[in-house]
Amino acid sequence: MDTKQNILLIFIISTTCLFPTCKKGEVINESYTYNFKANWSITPERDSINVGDTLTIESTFSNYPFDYNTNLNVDFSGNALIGTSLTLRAIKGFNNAPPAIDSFSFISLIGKCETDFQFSYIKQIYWQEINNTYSVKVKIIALKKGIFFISIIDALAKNKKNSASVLLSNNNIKNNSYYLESYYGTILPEKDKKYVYCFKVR
Amino acid sequence: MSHATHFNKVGNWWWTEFGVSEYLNTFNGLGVYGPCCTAHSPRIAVGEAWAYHMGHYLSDKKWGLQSTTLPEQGTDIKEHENVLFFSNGGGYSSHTNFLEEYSPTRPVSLDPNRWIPKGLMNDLMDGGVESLRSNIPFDLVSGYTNAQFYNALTTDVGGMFTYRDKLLQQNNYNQQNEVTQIFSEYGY
Repeated sequence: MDTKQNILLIFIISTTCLFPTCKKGEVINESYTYNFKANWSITPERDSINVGDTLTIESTFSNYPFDYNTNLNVDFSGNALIGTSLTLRAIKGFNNAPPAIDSFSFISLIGKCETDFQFSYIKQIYWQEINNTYSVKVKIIALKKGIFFISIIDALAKNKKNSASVLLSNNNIKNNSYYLESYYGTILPEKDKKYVYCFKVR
Repeated sequence: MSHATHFNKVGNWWWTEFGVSEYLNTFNGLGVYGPCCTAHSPRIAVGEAWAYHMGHYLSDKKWGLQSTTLPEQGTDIKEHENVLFFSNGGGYSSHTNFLEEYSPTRPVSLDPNRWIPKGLMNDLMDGGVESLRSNIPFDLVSGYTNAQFYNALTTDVGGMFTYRDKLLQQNNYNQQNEVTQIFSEYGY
């Protein structure tokens, strides 16, 4: 093809495929996605446990939750798909915090807890609708000694009608973030502390 | 504009392949860019990693703390379907916060395009502690520049693994272990 044909071909492909977000005159409904908030916690709340001990990770929120976009409670029932990722890592030094999924055994009690197909060290957790709430509950049993941190990030959600982001916070009174701060050598920002819980296995 | 600079670097053949890849990959209907791990996705990952990085980098330079809140991640950022919103905060713009907090680990069923490493180049540039919202606690590399990212976008780079190797090769394997580590956190 000569240069003119090449330019024409590139123009056609660019305008049809590469810029799908730039439709002229498109109106985006800003309230399409709800914005919920929920907590997760770990019990028992201790800064250290023994090998063989169990920790329970749990999160529950209403299926009629408060939406921070509209400032209204909204109906989000209907077995919505709600999920996010959980990371568990060992703290061994500034340059060394390897994944530690293998240091624990995972038991899913409510909802689902699955190993990610691409990242073997990531667990994907999914909430389940029970008694007008969405809940996920996972037990982890410590198999090896070490210092560890669990990180759970904001969740995404959708049901047949709507979708949502679920901003998650750890609500343990003490999340023992000093373990992680000693690893980083600095104080964690408050907004980051809500994503983690740290503990030692003796 | 980021796509235009990339086209200027790699020329017609690469760019036609890129366009065809994006077109064919979206037939699967997963998000805006389709599924990972197809024959088409490696080239898309390279093109869009650069485009998202430079787009948000330059938007931050232009608008700073006047930037608006932006939707990202999730199933469909165009239709705002189960997306997260990124806002100004902590002295940083929504664009910088997005690049810093982008997570490649959310469930594919809810974020099917997580395989596009939108925050990778920012992580190669910046110092300090990584935001834990990203689920990437490792970011020990810093100091790479946009010029270095651009120079590594050569015509023989059609995927993130070859892009990583080219970036290292062109820069005397600067921080090789740390660079390899941060690429692996994004799945590459």
